[in-house]
Amino acid sequence: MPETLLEVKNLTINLKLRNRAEVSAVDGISFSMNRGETLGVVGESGCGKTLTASAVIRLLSPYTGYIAGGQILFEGEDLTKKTARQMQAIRGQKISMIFQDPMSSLNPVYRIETQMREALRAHRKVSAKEAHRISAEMLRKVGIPLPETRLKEYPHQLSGGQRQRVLIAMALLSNPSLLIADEPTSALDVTIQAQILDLIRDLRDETGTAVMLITHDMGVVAENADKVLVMYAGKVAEYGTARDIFTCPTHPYTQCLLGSIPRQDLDVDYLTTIEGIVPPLEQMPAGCRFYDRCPLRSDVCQEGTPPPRRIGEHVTFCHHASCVLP
Amino acid sequence: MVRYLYERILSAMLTMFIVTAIIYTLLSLVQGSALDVMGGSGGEMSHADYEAIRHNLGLDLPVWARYGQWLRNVLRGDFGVSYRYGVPVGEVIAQRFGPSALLIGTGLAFAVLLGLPIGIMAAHRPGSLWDRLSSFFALAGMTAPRFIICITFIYFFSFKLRLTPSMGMHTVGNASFGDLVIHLILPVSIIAFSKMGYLIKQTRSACLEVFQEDYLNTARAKGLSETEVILKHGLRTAVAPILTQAMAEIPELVGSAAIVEKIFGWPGIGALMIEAIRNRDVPLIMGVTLVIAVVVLLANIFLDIAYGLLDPRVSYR
Amino acid sequence: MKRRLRAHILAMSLALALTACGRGPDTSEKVINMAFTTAWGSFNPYYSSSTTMYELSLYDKIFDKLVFTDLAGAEILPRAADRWESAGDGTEAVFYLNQNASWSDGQKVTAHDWVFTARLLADPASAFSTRVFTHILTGTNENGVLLDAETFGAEALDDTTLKFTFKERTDPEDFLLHYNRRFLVLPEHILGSVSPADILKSDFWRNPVGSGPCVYVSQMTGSEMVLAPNPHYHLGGGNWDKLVLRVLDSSSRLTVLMSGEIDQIELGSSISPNDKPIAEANGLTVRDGLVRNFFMDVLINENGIPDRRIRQALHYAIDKDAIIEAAAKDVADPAYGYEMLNTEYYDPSLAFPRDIEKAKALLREANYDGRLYTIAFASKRENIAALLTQQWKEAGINVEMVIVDVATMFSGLTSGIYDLGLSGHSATAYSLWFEGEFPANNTNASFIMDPARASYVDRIGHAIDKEEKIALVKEYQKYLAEQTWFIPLYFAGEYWVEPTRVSNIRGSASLMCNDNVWEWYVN
Repeated sequence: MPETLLEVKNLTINLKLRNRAEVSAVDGISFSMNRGETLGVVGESGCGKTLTASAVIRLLSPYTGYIAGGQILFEGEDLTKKTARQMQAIRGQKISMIFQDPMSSLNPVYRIETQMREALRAHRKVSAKEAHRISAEMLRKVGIPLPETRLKEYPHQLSGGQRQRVLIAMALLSNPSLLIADEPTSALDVTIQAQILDLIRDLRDETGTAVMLITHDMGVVAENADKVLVMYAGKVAEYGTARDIFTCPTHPYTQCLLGSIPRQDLDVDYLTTIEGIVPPLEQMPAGCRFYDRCPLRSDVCQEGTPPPRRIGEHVTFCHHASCVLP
Repeated sequence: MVRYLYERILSAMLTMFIVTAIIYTLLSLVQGSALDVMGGSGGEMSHADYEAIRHNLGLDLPVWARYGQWLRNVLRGDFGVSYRYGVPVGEVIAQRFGPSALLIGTGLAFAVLLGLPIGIMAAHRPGSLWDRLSSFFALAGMTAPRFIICITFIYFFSFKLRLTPSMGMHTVGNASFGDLVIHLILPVSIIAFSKMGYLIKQTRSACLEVFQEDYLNTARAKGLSETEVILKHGLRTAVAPILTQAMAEIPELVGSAAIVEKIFGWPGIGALMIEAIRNRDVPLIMGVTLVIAVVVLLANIFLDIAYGLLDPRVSYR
Repeated sequence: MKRRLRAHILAMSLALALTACGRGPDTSEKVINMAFTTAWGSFNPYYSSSTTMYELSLYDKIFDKLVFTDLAGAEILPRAADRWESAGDGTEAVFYLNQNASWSDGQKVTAHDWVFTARLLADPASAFSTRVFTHILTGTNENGVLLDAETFGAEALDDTTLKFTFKERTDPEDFLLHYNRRFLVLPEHILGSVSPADILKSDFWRNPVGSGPCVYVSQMTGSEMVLAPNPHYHLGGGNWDKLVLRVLDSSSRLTVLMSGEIDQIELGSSISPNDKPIAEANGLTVRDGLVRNFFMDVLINENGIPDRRIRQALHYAIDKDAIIEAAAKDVADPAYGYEMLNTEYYDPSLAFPRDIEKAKALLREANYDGRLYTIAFASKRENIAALLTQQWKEAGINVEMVIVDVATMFSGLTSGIYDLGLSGHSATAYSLWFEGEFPANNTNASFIMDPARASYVDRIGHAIDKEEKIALVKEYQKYLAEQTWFIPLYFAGEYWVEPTRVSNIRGSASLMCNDNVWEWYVN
């Protein structure tokens, strides 16, 4: 089996604004994933990471936006060219996704076993008994005690952590090659967060499923990711292995995120916040999008998108790329 | 659950008692009793005769005594005799109830069968042409005065196009199902049209809310088709509030059906009530009131139970 | 999903196919459909929650009456009675009944049944709500309650001869014009054993046995009634199998006639002049109803306008043709007295053309000082009032208009608030029909207390000889014309839709609450 599982090339996603105008919320990003690998996608809210994740599994709402360009090669096939029917076969079977808020991600009027059976039956014929057995097995795997009882219950009878486990179990029922996890722990409290992330990691080790982990927390990425994709305002800021990114962050934005940029004028030794906000979509600057907030900005930054600077797999999009040790 | 039912039925009976007492009192205040309509006021009835009949009808007793008598009789199963038709009230209502149930039931069924899908599709594509067209259609149904629609429909379909008969429930001598259907078409369309308006709006807003929910995305991510997602996950959750509102409109439906019945000469209890009021036929008015109250209260109880069955988050323990 | 859809479509097609099945219309049965805008009540002619014309129409079909009246009473035809005459010194009326009259259960109708019915109406313990006419028979008090069984004025001379004895001299035809509508015979052999106090509770009223032209089959209370011909009816029967009475909404009148769902609407299938072109455009034949019995007149308060000359001036100033044009199109005749034009009481010499000059002359003679008079009327008569006011102005009489409801108009005329009023009436061929047209507490039309008038009314009421009566009436009419206590305007009729499916329907008879159903023929 070839190593490369997913290759995203030059993906552009356009959003429709109220006045019929369109903007590129994600503009020409590229990255790839190998089998069994964990890719951490980091960035602030609104940087386009959720859009990207939704695009990969083709769950973009037509009222929100659409894929304007690029390719999404999954196991060699371009997902952007697939029909709805074909995508339905892939979703849940080859690519699964879990969402941010487990409290509202399960249908409140159906029992757990019904929802899990539905996930199974979407892709193959199973009897109710068989589905029950497989579901119970899966729940045990994700660490839910007394799975038989849990199956008969309704979502509102489970805690947040338990629900997220159920969702993970449901996502992995058909043994997908790729699991997209969109901020799976943001809505949970800290102790549960660690448990869930451990669970995901263990499952990945056990089943060999690749995981695209969307998060805004660099700490999570440090613990769990093999590769890191740093996004800002719809563009890639920096992309490379976790080792590279953490030992040698080259993009000022990454450095800010890691809280360690040496300021020529000040000598600070505490984590800083980045002033300002991401510019609104309609008012993206023509040059580097990080210009307004970048401590290292200069005139050249305003002339078009910064070209990529590569060292092997490590790519940075910045004129002033330079390795700064944390 | 049994205890809950028990409580509901008890409170329903209390409600009915209060409702009938109020209506009976109001009726007694209305100018002109059945006796006056008979010709007692300035008519050719002599004073002695007037008094004799008044006594026979029990109209010389005070209101509460008359009501008490009525209530006692009802509890024994005796609903009295209609002043106007001279026939036991129970009989008259039994005859006329069926046609009303048929009309209202069919109208409601069609309103749901057509209104629900339209509302769902409108919520699925908010702001689209379909959404705006169906909104307009819904508004027309809700606001158009029923009387005018009735007359307009009769004008076009019965008169101009000669497609349907303009009155009654059947042609004498013709007991076929087809004859009933052709007589049903027009009145049912009108009832369905106006109820559909409400239903479309309610479905649309309930669905719009539900369609935002995250669990729809989970369902999509599982690999379900869009139709399955909308129906199994969207509609299934939205149906509970829609059902609530639909059932809450039953009393209004009974009232507005009366107008349709009157204009089409449909022999239902709505038209019966209108006539009874005109004739100050107190036993009949009370009988019909009782029937309508029972129907509405039962519908409410049924609705509450249905809601509990549909949404497991609600418990009646 | 697709599979389910296909299953649904299949099921619906099946259901639709079923509509083709089921028993189709029984085309061998001849059904006549009659419509009413108000439902009837029970079958009891003497205890009704409102004795309207619709109910009288229903009783007419189940129970028999003495005669059949048409043309607003100008025509009186035998029905249960073959012939009648005045007897004694005018205080008796003898009716010779048809020998073949039978109840629907086969028993023969006799004069005893008629006496039984009258006796029941007069009974002090009677639970009925009306006594109809017993107050004019001997042996009763002023309310018609029986005082003395011996002298009671209803008697069976033999099985087919019925005699009434009245308190005062009464022309049998006047009696019939007044009371035939509401006097229907009840079976003694069934109701004779029921006590008058309990008569209402009898099951008889649920399934009545009458000697009228129809028998009751079934009904949907308040909506539809099915009748069949009475096989024993002495005047025979039409060729129809079922007569269906249906209640319809007044907005559907024209539609049901045009679609053919209804053959005859209550009281003659009348339609308004506005609807005439529509009806004709749709293949219906609309004709002049020919019965002009709607009488329109101006009432005058004598105390408000005491000078006869001014009242006459008001009459001369009116252009009745213009009024007719506005109010009744071409189905009305100008009136100069209150006797209908098709009766023998009508006197054409009373008519005169509009004469403004004469009006002005009369006003000068009376020294009219130009004072303002008020005319009160109901809002639907506004066009007539407006025309009158305008015409009076041309003659120099000042009148202002006030719109009120009918009850207020009458009480206002009595108390003197208003000087003039407008009212419409349904006339009959009864010579004194106009005298009884006003609220019970005002026995004189236009609230006049002239003794000469009371004398005329009395003499006419007691006249038995036809020639004598006609002469008296004409004399009275001239007197009324001179006094001008009221101003007759016109007699109007209506447009009627000719039934196409059924022949021999006497639409004008419907107005008198009787239908000649035994002669109706389905084409």
